[in-house]
Amino acid sequence: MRGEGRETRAAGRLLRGAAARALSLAILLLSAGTAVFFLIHLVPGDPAAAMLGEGASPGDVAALKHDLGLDRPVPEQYVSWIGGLVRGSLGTSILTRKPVTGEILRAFPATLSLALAAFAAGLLVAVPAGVVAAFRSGRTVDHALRMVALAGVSTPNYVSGPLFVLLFSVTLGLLPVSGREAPLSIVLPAATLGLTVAALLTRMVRASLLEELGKPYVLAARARGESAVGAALRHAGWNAIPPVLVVAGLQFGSLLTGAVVTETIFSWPGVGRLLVQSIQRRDYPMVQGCVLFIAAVYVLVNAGVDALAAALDPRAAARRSGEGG
Amino acid sequence: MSVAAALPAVRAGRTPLPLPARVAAAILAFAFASALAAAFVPASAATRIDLERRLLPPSAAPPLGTDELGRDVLARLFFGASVSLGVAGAAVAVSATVGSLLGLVAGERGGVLDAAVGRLVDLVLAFPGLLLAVALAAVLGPSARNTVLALAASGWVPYARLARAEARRVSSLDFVAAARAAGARLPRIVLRHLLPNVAGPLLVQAALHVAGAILAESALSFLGLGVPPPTPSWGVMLAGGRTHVLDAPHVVLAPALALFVVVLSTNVLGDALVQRLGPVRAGSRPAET
Repeated sequence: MRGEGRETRAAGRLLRGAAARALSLAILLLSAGTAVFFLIHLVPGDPAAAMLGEGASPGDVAALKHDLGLDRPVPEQYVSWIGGLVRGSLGTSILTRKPVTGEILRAFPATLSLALAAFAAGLLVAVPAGVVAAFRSGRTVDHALRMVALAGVSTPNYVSGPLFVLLFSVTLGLLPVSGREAPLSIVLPAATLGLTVAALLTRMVRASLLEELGKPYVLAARARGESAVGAALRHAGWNAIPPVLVVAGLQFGSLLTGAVVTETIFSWPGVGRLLVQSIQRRDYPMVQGCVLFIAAVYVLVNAGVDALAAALDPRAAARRSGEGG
Repeated sequence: MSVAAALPAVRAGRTPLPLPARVAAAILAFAFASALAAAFVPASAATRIDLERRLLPPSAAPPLGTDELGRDVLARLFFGASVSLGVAGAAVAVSATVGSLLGLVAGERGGVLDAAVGRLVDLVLAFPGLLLAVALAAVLGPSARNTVLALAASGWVPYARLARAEARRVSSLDFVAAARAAGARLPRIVLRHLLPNVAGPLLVQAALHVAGAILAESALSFLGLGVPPPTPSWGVMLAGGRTHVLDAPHVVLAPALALFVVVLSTNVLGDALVQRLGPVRAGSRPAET
């Protein structure tokens, strides 16, 4: 009986916690929407005139202002923007005259597939490399891997991308330069993004595993006669996962939000390239939509990663809710 | 410069930094010195167009060859250093000043102000990586000043988080209570009592931030959202040379290599400083995209 009551109370607390998190998430998304709304009012001078360029007639400017609703009072504009957000509408593109949301959702699958490919490639390299570096800590292999990882972290995508094109497409003629038509065209952009992911995660895997390997419980396992590899696999490995998972989740979040530079280099038709193109065409409603969409995906992925990390490490969750065993 | 400023740690630790870190510091000193030197040379050396001498390969006369408009790549590299490092340095300085002060005041005062700064931090963190900088640069228009503003718009957050955490730790200590009891006002407590005691981690954060700011500036310029084209920045040079990567790879390789060496040096030095002073607690976000 008593146990049952305690369980109900615990479930209630859990539910209240989830509700509070959902509420703060909603508030955060609304504030992001507000910030993005005011973005267009930062355009120096008249946004409508800026969109149409120098040769526009005053009549055209006034018509566009009316179309965008920029001739209405700011509070009214704000209410209709937020009202649109709640209904899932991000406004209408000036250029294509189509709903912004639809255009973004059409571009998202390309971003998603690129993010998954880059993330998988990064993990495939980072986990073995990080584990080897941790086991051989201080030896030549470790130093070499750390230097390579540091070089990887220091190589921006706009350097590695063109170099990959130079090597694999131009010199060796193995892979397509850009676009998304050929099945192999995902290889170079994924490798470019994956390089950064692999370098960051290798450092993280190494540091996290090394920290766990140095703890007394691993020594105790060794003293009981377990082999070094066995102790690491059975004990340290599991405890090393949550911190890596958090960083990996953040990485995946930023990959998923459209790798602006990489998509531009390889003409990959995702959300990041849509954003850059809309900026070049001064399609401000589209820019606003892309920025807010990317932020929303990022925030939601991070919230999911937090929940996953809490589920994997109940000790941290218990500390947070202030409850002992 | 900011690196030299972060070096009190060396005195405190007595043993010198490891060799790779010292080499990195020397490279950075050279890069910043050449950036300063470029400011005293007429800019025409890097912007003079000579279509007769397009895309010349590296040789004795132009040591690094010429680019697609016949401009001297070496001269542009030096001017690019002053633009790239100057904009990045300014962005770091603005971010560090604004973020540290906001964080210190929020940590010392607490209450509504603290909560407001906290919400603002959460809001900025909702925009991943370069997104906020890209959005701001897009609406403000390309210029060096707007690039600094765009980078600082998200750059101040790690300083604010770090400064707030450190301020809360220090402000509960006796000497701060004594200063308050003696009637010291907020600016005096923050600047005379809190700042000197939290400056170490903030300087490490700044040293780490330099690499990220250089990368971010180049990324913005690469996308055409940073410093506008006739001015050579390393990102502008990369973007311009990309179309000629087949017939004249040196135009891309020169700024790419310069960027790589400077950022690698900053990272090596930053790692060494973190190991010396302990990790930066509130954490910085790595530069991505």
